[in-house]
Amino acid sequence: MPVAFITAMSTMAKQLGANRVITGTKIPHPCGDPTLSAEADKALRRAIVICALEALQKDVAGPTIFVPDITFTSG
Amino acid sequence: MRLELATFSLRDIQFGSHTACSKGTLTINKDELAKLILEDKRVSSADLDVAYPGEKTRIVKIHDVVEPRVKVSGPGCVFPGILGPVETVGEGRTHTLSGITVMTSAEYRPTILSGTEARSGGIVDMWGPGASLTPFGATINIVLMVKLIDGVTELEAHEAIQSAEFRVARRLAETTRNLAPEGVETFELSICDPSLPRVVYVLTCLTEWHHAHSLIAYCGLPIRESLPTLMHPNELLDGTITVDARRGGGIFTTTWIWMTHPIVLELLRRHGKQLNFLGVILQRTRFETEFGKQVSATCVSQMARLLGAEGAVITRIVTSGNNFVDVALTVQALERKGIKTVFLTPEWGGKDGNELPLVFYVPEATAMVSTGSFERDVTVPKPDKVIGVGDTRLVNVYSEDKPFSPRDEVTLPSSFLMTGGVDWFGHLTLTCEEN
Repeated sequence: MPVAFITAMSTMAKQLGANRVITGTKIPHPCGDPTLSAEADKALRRAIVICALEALQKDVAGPTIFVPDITFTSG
Repeated sequence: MRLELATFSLRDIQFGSHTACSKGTLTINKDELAKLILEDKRVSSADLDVAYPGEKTRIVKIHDVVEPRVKVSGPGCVFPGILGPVETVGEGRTHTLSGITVMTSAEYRPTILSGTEARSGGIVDMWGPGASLTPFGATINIVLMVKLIDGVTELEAHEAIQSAEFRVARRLAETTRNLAPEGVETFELSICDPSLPRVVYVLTCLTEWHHAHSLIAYCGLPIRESLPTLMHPNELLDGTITVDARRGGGIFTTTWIWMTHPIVLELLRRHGKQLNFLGVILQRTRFETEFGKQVSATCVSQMARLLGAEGAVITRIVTSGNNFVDVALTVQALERKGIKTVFLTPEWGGKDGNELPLVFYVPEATAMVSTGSFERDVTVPKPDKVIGVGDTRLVNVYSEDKPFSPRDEVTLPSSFLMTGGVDWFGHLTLTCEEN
C-alpha cells in the first residue's frame, strides 16, 4: 500500500527508507503554520496535502522527496 | 588579546573561622558563604557541604557546576553580563582554583512540571563506577544547598541558583588575589607562521528558543534563534558562555565544562606550534525546519571559509536527534567548501549497543570521534552519605519519572549521572575496546 509521509525532516525520512516523503513546514507542526491567519494556514495545509495525494499516485524507484509549492520562511 | 590563566591547585578544603587559601588548602567560613547566598531575597535557606574524591558520597539534585575564577587584571570580570557589566573578556589575568568545583544542589517550586524543561537535578558519585563517568568524581566539590522561596518564576529560579553559585565561586577565587600562583599559562592568538594549517573550532550549541532560558547564554543573554557567532577562544575561559542553571542531569552541559573546555585549551596550546587557531564559531542548533538547518550550516561554512580555514573541528552538546541533523549538515557544508572536518559526537545505540548509533548520515562525515553513549545503564552501589538540598530520601532526575532512593544501590540510565557517560569535549580519559 503506498504511503505518503509528511515530515519537516524529509532528508532523514528518505535515509530511513520512506518511499514518498513530503517536506512539511516545521517539526512542531509539519502540516500547517499556527502563526499564519486561518485563511493562509488553510491554503498552506491544502498545498501540503495535495502534494501528498499526488505523491501517492506516482511510481517511485526508491525513497523520493516531494516538495510542496509553499514558501519556507521560518527556522 | 592575551590572557594569563594563573592556576592555584587545591588539594584540601576545610571549614574554619575565616575564608582563605594557603599552600593548597582552602579554608571556608561556612556562615560567611551562607550569608552571601542569603543576600539574594529569592533564597529562603542556604547550607554548604564538601565531597571528596574516593569517599562513598552521592550528591543529588545538582543543577550546575562551576570552577572558581576571578579576574585580577584586564577588562571586565569573569561571567560578564552576569557578575558585572557586559564586556569582551579574555584579556589580562584570571586566577582559577583548579581541583575543586562549586556545585549547586537546588530546590524550588517549579511552574513547569513536565517535558525537558522540568528537572530535579543530576547526580554525582564520588567513588565507584559512577565517579569514573564524570569529571566531578575527581574534584573536591563544594556543594551549595539552596532553597528558593515560593512564587519565583522559572527565569528567576535560574538567576537565583546561578547567582548563588557564581558569587560563592568568585568569593573563593578572591582568596588568591594577592597570592603567587603555581603556574601561569598564557593564551593568545598571535600572528604565526603562515605555513601552519589554519584550523577553526565550530562549537555547536543546542538552544531551545521556546523555554524560559534557552539553555546556553552569551554574556548572560540566552541564545535563541541566532545565526553563528564568532568568538575569541579566551572568552570561554573567562565565562562568556553560561548555561541554564535550572537544568542539571547528564544530558545538559554545566558551566564548568565550557570554562575548562579541553578542545579550546588544546587548540590554544598548539597555536603557533602545530596549527594556526583561527577562532571559535559558536553555532546555535536545533532549528525546527530543514530549511533553517541548511541556512545555519551554510552560514557556518561560509564564515569558516572567510576566515581562511583549511580544517575544522566540530562538536555538539545535548542528546538530541534534531540537533544531530543541524551538525551533520554543517559537516557536509564545510567539506563541500573544501574544509576538512573532524566531527566529535556521542552515539545512541541502545542499552546493549546493538541499535543504530546515529540517526542521520552524511557521506562527507569521514573523520568522526565517538564521545560515548548516553543510552547505557549504570549500577551504582549504596553510598555512606548523601549530600543534597531538602529531603533526599527519594529523588528523580526527570520530573515525570518514578522517584528512587539514592541511599541504596540503584541501576540508572547513565544520563542520570553528570555527565552521563558522555564526554562532550574530552574532559575524561575513558576509551573503548574493540571486541
